[in-house]
Amino acid sequence: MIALRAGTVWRDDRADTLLQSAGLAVAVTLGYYIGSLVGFALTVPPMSPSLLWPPNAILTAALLLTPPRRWWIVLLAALPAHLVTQLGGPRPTTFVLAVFLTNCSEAVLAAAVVRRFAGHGAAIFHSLRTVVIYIVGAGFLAPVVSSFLDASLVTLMLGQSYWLVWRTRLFANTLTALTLVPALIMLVEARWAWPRRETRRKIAEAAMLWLGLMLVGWSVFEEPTGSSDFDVMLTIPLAFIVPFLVWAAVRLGPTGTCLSLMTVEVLAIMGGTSGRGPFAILPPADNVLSLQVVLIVLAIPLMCLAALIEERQQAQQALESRLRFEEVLSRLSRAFVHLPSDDVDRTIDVWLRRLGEHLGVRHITIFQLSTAVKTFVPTHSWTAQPEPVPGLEVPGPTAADDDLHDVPLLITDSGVLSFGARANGAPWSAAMIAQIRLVAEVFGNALARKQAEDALRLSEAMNAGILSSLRSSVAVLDQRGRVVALNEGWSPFAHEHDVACVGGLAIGTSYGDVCRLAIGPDSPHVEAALRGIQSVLDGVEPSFVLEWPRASSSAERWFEMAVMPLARAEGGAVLSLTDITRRKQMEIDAQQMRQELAHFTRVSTMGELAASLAHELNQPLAGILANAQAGQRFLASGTADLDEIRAILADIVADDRRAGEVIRRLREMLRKAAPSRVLLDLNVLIGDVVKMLSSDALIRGLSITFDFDPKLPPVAADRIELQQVVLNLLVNAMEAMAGPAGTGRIAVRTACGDSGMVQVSVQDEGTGIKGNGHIFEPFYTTKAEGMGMGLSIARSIIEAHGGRIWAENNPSGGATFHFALASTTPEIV
Amino acid sequence: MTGVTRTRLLVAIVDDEESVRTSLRRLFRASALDAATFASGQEFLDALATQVPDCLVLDLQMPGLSGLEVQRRLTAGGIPVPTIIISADDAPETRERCLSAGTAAYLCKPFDDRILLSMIARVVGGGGEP
Repeated sequence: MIALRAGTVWRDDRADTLLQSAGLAVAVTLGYYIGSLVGFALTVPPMSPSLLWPPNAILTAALLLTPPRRWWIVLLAALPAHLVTQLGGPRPTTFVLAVFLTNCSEAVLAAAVVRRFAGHGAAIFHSLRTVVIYIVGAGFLAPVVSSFLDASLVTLMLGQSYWLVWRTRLFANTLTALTLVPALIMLVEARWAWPRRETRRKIAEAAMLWLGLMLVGWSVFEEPTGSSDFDVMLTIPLAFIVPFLVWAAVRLGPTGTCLSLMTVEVLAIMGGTSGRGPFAILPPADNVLSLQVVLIVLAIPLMCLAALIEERQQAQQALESRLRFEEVLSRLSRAFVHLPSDDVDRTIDVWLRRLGEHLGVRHITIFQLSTAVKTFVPTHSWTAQPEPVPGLEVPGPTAADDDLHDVPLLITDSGVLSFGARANGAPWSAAMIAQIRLVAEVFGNALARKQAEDALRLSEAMNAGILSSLRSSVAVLDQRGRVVALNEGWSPFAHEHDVACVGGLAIGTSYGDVCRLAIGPDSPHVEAALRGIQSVLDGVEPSFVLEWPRASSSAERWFEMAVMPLARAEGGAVLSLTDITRRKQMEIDAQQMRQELAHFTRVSTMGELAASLAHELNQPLAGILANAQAGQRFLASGTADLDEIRAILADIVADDRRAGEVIRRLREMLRKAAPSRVLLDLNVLIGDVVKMLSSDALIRGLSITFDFDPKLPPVAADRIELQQVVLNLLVNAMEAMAGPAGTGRIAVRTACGDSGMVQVSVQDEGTGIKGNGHIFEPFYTTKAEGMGMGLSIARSIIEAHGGRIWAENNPSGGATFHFALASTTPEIV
Repeated sequence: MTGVTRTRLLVAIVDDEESVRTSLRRLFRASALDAATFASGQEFLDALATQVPDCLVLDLQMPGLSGLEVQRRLTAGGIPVPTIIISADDAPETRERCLSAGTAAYLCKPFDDRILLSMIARVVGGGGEP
C-alpha cells in the first residue's frame, strides 16, 4: 500500500575548489620539507639513505587522502620542497631529480595498489582484510620495488654499496609506511576531532598509555647500555614495550595503535642513531636495522589485531543500533494498533519526538497532500530545541529549509516524511533509510486509517443532520422492510393525528405498522401503500408515490408517501411522508378558477350566439304556430279531417321537442357544475355542438362538413368541457371566415391517432394564423370584440384531460386546429 | 296546371325547413289558397318556367341560395311575383336590406296567420281577408 522512495542528496564530496587545491599543495610542500629535514637528521654517514625517511610516507598519505585526479598537485607540490632540501649539497642535480622520481614512484605505487584493493582514508585500518592489503602493498611491494631503483641510482652516481643501500632504504621505508602513513592519514581524516569525539575517560586512558610508553621507551631506547648487562638489557626492557602496544590495540583502536607505534619508532630511531638503545653494542647502522626489524615485526600483528577488534566493535555497535531501532519500531507499531482516530495526531506528535531523539535529527516533518490546494502541506512536525531562548519562537521547518536537501524524503501515498540533518553530522546509511522506511509506513497507515474514519464520521454526521433537518417524516427501511433509521418528523405526526399505532414506531418496526400509523389503520389506502412499498423493496418498481386525503379535527388534510430504493447491494428503501395539504389546496383552487373562467367564457360565447339561438328556436316556434292556426281554421270551417288534425298535432309535438332540445343544449352549456369524467363518443358530442351552431353558420352563409371515423373509441372526459372546446374551435373557425364572400366551408374530422389517441381536427378557409405561437395565450385576440379567451380555455381544458392541442396553417389557405386525447377502453372506467 | 284557368290564388312557399313548409301549406289550404312548396330557392326558380305563382312566401336564411338572392334574381329576370320574406332574424338592418331589394313585405318568425294572409291579400292586390 505504501509506495516509497528514499532520496538522498549528499554534500558534494570534496568540491574541486581552487582554495582546497592550494591548501593541499601548501600542506604537501611543508610536510615534505619538514620530513626531509627530519630524514637528513637521521642519516648515518657515510650511508646516503636515511634510517627514517618521512617524505615518502607523507607523499603516500597525501595520495591516499586525495582523489587520483588531483595526484599531480600532490606530486608537483612536493618537488620544490625536495629541491630546496637536496640541491646545494654535494650531490649532483641529476641525482637529486632521479631520487625524487624514485620517491614518487614508491608513493604512487603504494597508493595505487591500496586504492585499487582496499579503498582510501582511515577506513583502510578499520578492517582486517584492508589492513593486510595495505601491509602487503604499501608496506612491502612499493618499498621493495622502488628500493631497487634507488639503490641503483646511489650505487651508480655515488658509488656506494648496492645491497647496503637497498637494505637500509627498504627497512626504513617499510617502517615509515607501516607506522607513519596510518598515523598521518588518521590524524588528517579525523581533522583533529578525535580528542573531542571521545569520552574524557578514553582521553585520560590514552594519555596514561602514552606517558607509560614514553617512560618505558625512553628507558629502553635512550639509555646507553654496557656490555656486561647485554643479555638482560637486550631482551627484557624491549619486551616491556609490548604490553603498552597491545593495550593500545585492544583499547584505543587503529588510531591509538598507529600513534603508539609511531611514538616507539621515533624514540627507537632517535636512540639508535645516537648509538643508544638495546642494540647499542652493534655498529650504528646495524643497531638501527635491528630496531627497524623489531618494530616492523611488532607493528604487523598489532595493526591486524587493532583492525580485527575495531571490526568486531563496529559489528557489535551496528547490531545494537539495529536492535535498539527495532525495539523503537515495535513500540511505535504497538502504539498505533487499535488507536482511536482522535488520538492519531497526538500519538504521531509523541512518536515524532521519540524518533527524532532516537535518530538524533534536528527535525522531522510529515507533509500530507491537501485536496483543497493540491499540494503537500506540513501536518505534523517535531523540532529539536537545543537551547530554548525565552520569548523567541522557534520557527518550524519549511520546504525551503536547506537541511531538506541533505536528508531522505520518504514519500508514501498519503504524504511525505522528511527528516532534518542529524545533529552529530553523521551521514544517513542505507540501513537507516530502510529502517525509517518502516516508520513511514506505520505513520502512513495510521494517517490513512484516520482519514478513512474521519470521512466515515463526517458522512454519518451529514446523514444524521440531513435526516433531522427534513420537514417530512422519513424512515429508512432495510431489505425486509424493517425501520433502521427514523427522523423526528414522526413524533409530532403521530401525536397530532392521535393514532393508536400498533406497537409504536421505533427502530425495528415493520413498514406495515408505519403505513397504518401514517395512513390510519382503517383507511382503504393502506393496502395500496403496502403493495407499493413491497414492490420497491423487491426491486419491481423504481419508486412509488401515493397521495391520499385524511380527515383531521380541523379540516381535510392531504398526505403524500414517496418510497425510493436504497442504493446498496442489500437493498432497502427510504420512505418519506409529507403533508401536501397546501399544494393540494392550491391545485384545487387553480382547478376551480379554471372552471369558473371556462363557465364565464361559455356564457360569453353563448351571448355572441344569441342571434343564432333565436333563429334556432324561432324555426320550430313558427312551425308550431302555423300548424296550430291551420288546425283552428280547419275546425272552424267544419271541413276538418281527423287525419289532417292528427298530422298537425304530431308535427306540433315534433317541433316542440325540437325547441326543447335547443333549450336543453343551451342550458347545459350555461350550467356551472363540477367536472365529472364520463365515457364520451366524440362523434356524437361534436354533432350536438354543430347543431347548436348550424343556424349561425346559416346566417353567416357557411357550411360545416363532417368526416367522422365510425370506429372511434370513447374518451373519458367531462362532457361540458369538451363541448366547450369544440364550440370554441368552431366559433373561432367561423369568425376567421367572416368575410364578404360568405360561402366558406368548415370541415370537422375525427380519427384514431397514434398509440390509442383520438384526434379531432377543425379546418377552416379563413385568414390563417398570424400571431405565431401566441394563439393559445390568454387575451390574445385578432378580433375587435372578443376577449381572446376561447383558445386559451380550450388549451387548459385539453391539458387538464392529459391531451394536446395545436394549430397549423393549411397549404391552401386557412388554418386547421387539432386536439388529441387518450382513448379509454370501457373496462377501465 | 298550364292552360287551366285558376279559380284560386296560387302561393309558392320556399323554405328549407320542412316543418315550416308543411304547416304553411296546411294554413293556406284551410284559407282556400293553393300552395306549392319548394325546399330551396333554386328549386323554385327552376319551376318558374312552368308556372308563375301569384305570390311568393320566401325564407331568408337557407343553405345555397338565400332568400335575398332569389329576390334579386326575380327582379333581374323581370318576373313580377310579389314576395313576402319570412325570417327568424328580426334585426332591423336585415328588414331594410330585404325591402330595398324589392320585396313586398317582411315578416319575423313566428308570425300570426291573419297577418300573413292579409299581407298576401294586400300584395296580390285583391280584396280583404278571405
